[in-house]
Amino acid sequence: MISENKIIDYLEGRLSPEELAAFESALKSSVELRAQLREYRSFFKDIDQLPEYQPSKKLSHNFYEMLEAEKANQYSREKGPSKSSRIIIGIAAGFALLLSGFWLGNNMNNDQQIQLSQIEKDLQETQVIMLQLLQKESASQRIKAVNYSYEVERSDQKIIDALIRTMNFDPNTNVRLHAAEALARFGQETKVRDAFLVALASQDNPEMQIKAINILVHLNERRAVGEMLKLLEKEDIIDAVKQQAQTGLEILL
Amino acid sequence: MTDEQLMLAVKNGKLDSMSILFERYHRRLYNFFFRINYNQNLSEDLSQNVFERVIRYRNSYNPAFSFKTWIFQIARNVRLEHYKKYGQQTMEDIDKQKFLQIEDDTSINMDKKEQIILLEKAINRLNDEQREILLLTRFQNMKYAEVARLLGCSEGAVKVKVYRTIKQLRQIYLKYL
Repeated sequence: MISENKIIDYLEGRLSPEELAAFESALKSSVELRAQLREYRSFFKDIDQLPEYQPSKKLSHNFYEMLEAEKANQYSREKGPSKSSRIIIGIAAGFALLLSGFWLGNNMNNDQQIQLSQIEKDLQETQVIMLQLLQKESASQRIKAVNYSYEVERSDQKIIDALIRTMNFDPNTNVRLHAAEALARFGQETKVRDAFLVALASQDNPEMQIKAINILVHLNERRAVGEMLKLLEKEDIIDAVKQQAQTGLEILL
Repeated sequence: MTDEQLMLAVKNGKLDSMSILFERYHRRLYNFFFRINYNQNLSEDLSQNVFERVIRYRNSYNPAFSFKTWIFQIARNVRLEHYKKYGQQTMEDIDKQKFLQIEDDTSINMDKKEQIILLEKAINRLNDEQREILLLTRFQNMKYAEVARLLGCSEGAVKVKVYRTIKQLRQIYLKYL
């Protein structure tokens, strides 16, 4: 029986590789767990979609006023630069504020002008959240980003490209594994199959190698045969990976 | 430049560096306070108060520690002092709040607005400790280790609090839906 805590850890990308494997196998056999996971995923999505509230310009205005006063204080203590240079800094800060306000206003107008159908809007929303989260420093945030791709039913090139980039280049193995898993859903696309072939040839982490073999075999991708034969020859490949390649070859050939 | 390098520069008298830290943190702090009191003016005042203290106490900043943890420590103190003085807001006050920014935003459709308001209300029904955990881990994306340092407890304890909070929030939210 998998606890709710594990579902939370899974969605936050906090499971160890062993826990992740156990969770994924439980997921395959339990309809109930899959349903629970779906519910939690949609709940997390609701939370992550809550808006960031914008303070009024008063906050910036008061802050810069306070900063200028503090600087004036400091300069008068240290006999710092002349009053005229402080005025110039003040004007520059004010001008910067004005520009940023203008930029914001302009963008909001553009946003309002875009009238898209609901499906396209949802898709765009998912893309934006996903791409933003993928930039985060924390691996769990990037896994969350990958998990957002499940929200999209049909294949979307931006999302697929983001997943491919993540699978190939993310510094964290767990994130790469999640991305590979999410990409497998789009296995009918040649681009995605090519990406798995590249992953098989270039990933040096055993878990990633096994993941790529399993997915390519599942997709019945015969172009993987050559690379898998190469793996069997290489000395620096661990036995578990070679075994998986061997089993895969037996199915594909 | 990292937050810590900037704060060190502020400490060494380069006050202009403070404006970069302000740009990086003022929205985060504002949202932290706003989700506690849902009051724009008050949240702006409390955020301003935090920056005043950062400047006033700049000499006490220790660059060995994360700036983010330090500024949120100050934010927590500002918040506690305010509520000691003026008391906690009640649910009725929040119901009366108009969620002005959401209601005026024409780019969000009605269903979505409704859902956002319900979830915000659910967040507000959490107890103080749980709401803080949610704000720090989920909205501020702080690592469990950072939150542990901030709250003065172990990382394991933070993890348990996160589980409880998420489950509790989900239960409240499902009841509203």
